[in-house]
Amino acid sequence: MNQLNRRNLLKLMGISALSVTGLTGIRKQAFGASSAQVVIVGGGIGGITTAKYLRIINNEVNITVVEPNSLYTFCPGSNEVLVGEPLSDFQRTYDHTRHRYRLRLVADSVKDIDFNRKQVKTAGGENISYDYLVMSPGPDFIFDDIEGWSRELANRKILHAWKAGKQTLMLRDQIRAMPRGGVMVISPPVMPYRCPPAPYERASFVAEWMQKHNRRGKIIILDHNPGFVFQQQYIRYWTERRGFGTDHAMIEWVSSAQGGAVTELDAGKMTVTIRSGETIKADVINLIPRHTANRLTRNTGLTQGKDWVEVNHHDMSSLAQADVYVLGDTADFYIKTGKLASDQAKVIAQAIDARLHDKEPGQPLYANDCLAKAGSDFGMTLTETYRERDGKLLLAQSIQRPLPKESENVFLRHLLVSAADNWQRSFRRDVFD
Amino acid sequence: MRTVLVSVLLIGLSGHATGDGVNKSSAQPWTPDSWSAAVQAMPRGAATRGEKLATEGYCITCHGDKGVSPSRNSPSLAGQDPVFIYKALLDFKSGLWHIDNKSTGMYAVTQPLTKQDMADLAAFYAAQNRSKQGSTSTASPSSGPAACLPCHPTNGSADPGHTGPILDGQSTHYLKRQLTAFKTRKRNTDVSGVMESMTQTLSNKQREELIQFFSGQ
Amino acid sequence: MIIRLYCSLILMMSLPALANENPFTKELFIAPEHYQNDPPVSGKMAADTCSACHGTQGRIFNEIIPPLAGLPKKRFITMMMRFKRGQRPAFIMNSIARTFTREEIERMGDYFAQQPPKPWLETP
Repeated sequence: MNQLNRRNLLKLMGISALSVTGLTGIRKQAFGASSAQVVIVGGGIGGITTAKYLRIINNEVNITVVEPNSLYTFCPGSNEVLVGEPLSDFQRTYDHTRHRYRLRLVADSVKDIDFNRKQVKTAGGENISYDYLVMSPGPDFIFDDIEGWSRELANRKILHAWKAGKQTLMLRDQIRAMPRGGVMVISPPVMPYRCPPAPYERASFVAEWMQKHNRRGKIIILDHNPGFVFQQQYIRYWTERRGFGTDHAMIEWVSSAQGGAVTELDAGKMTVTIRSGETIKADVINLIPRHTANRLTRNTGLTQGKDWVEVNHHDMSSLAQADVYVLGDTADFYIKTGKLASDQAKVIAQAIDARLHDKEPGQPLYANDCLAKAGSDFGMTLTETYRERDGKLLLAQSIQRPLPKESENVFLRHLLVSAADNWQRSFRRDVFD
Repeated sequence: MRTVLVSVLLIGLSGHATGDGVNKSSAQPWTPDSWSAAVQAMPRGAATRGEKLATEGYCITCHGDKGVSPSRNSPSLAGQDPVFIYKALLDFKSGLWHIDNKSTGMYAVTQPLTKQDMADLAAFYAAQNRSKQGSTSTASPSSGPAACLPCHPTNGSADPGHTGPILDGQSTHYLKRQLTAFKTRKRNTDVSGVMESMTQTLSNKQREELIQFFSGQ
Repeated sequence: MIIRLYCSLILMMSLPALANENPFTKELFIAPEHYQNDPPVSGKMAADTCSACHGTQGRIFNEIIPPLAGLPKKRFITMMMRFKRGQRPAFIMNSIARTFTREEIERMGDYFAQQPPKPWLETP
């Protein structure tokens, strides 16, 4: 039976008891004047969703977002750019969002944090005081797992295109410039990394493009992992359409169990060596680096020496510092996706508002639901829910569809593609509109 | 049960696509001749087969089990003129009916349909009971639907000339979207562009009155 | 802690394994009723996980995924329960509805019924 004590009942009734007001949906009822300062580091999915959703329920709090870039590029869905969609579809400026939600935007990066004084120090020399700090800075990448690779090389030639923007366009151009019958290598890093299906989606989209533009082209996935999400669906589709498993396969997958992990790169010769000892020559080498927590969180001690920032999953609050919330790829969470970052942001927004009113944060829910595509005529879905107990995450459900029998339904395939395109658009709108 | 091979062949015929994946290369505007030829060539539809397709094709997810839409998002199809449903499916599949992200969705799900499938679905929906989805206003519009009634009669049955769909009881939101789409010429599906022309002089007030009139029938 | 979890998974996978033991694709389903003794998830909290598809406060009206704002509570509950019971074909809602208890669905129904049926952002 539910714990229907008074506090929980109030929490349940809390939102429904209030009037919802008009187009902006901003609550006009004030619980009391509050000039609390909330500072958000990072103007990406996690940061902006926190700002927006906090403003929707709290009219008074001051919200500052520190973000160096004036143009944000969505990474989710950006594989489409590799096969022709304009990058601008994925880009947003902050103008509309900052005005609608009354955000103070500081166009700068954060150099350091003084947790005792509760101040964020920007590279440009500004000290910004906070009552509550929200960190959504995105992950950092590790390049020296692979001998011969470096950040400098990744920015120039052996691209990752794992933070959408300039590298996405460069990779697109590399693919277009491939010779007839050329080879592209894609190397997913060891999990966890942001957006687990994306390397396979990338291979899948490029293969469909190659079917039209470079018929004898080939993609080899050299994997640090023994398996992947949607493995059943991707392999089924690749078997049906891309000759997977045959001599003329357009896509090959070398799992970590088969020694597929890339250990060495020779950027001059354009070869990679994998753990099995084999060396593969390629025309396009797309290595995706291992992820770790953002250096800002490491340098300021939030990670406490671990790979990710540990949080209390009840409200995503840092275990290392009071009044600090951490979300997105840098936070400790089983899976890293944009959808999860937006759910975490909403949990944080209500938690901060609750504390501003001397209330306990409500029970969280995280739903890593996803509509993905293998091509222009095959879609997939993931339903994955996380609940929480005693500060710990509980994976409650993980359901990948369609099942083999279901995927024989051609209508379903097309409907899923249409729905997947729809959800990319509507997700962007839930963050920035 | 549709086989994958058939769809592979169908899709293989597609050519260059617009930005949202809609391939309009076979989308020809209708003339009276081309429309009359299409009506004559329309296969005989079987409602029982159409019912099965409506489930298999996921039509019921948006248009309701019996063609009465659960949401203001999609039109009701119950009791509609089967010829009009057939035409709509042809237009979605060819990319001719390409207004917005909703029609892009319809484009996607009509790709696997043959003309026989379309006729079967049309027969199924035509046989369903229409129930009012729209408003119940009985105010008569100032400019009168005199201009509309010849093609959209409100006696509950289809115009024998099949010149226009039945509008009775249709969702006000849907009617508004389509009238706007015709006026802005984002929708170019009518034979000889009649609806596109007729809506040019429609004021917002007149449009609102028409919508209230038809949805209340 | 997470790296250790994945390392042990990878070690497991290096051994010959049956296809359905693949931890990356293995289906997991713990009924949501299992969590009924935990503090309840509010209607708004649950409903906000829907906005990535249905729009902020369920208020996207110009896509194929339908809006939820302003839906009569009873209709919302009926549809979700039919999805939950597998009585209505769907491409994802059948899976999603199964992750909620009936009580959570009712609370979401309450929430959406109160949202104004107007686009979150009017587009020109």
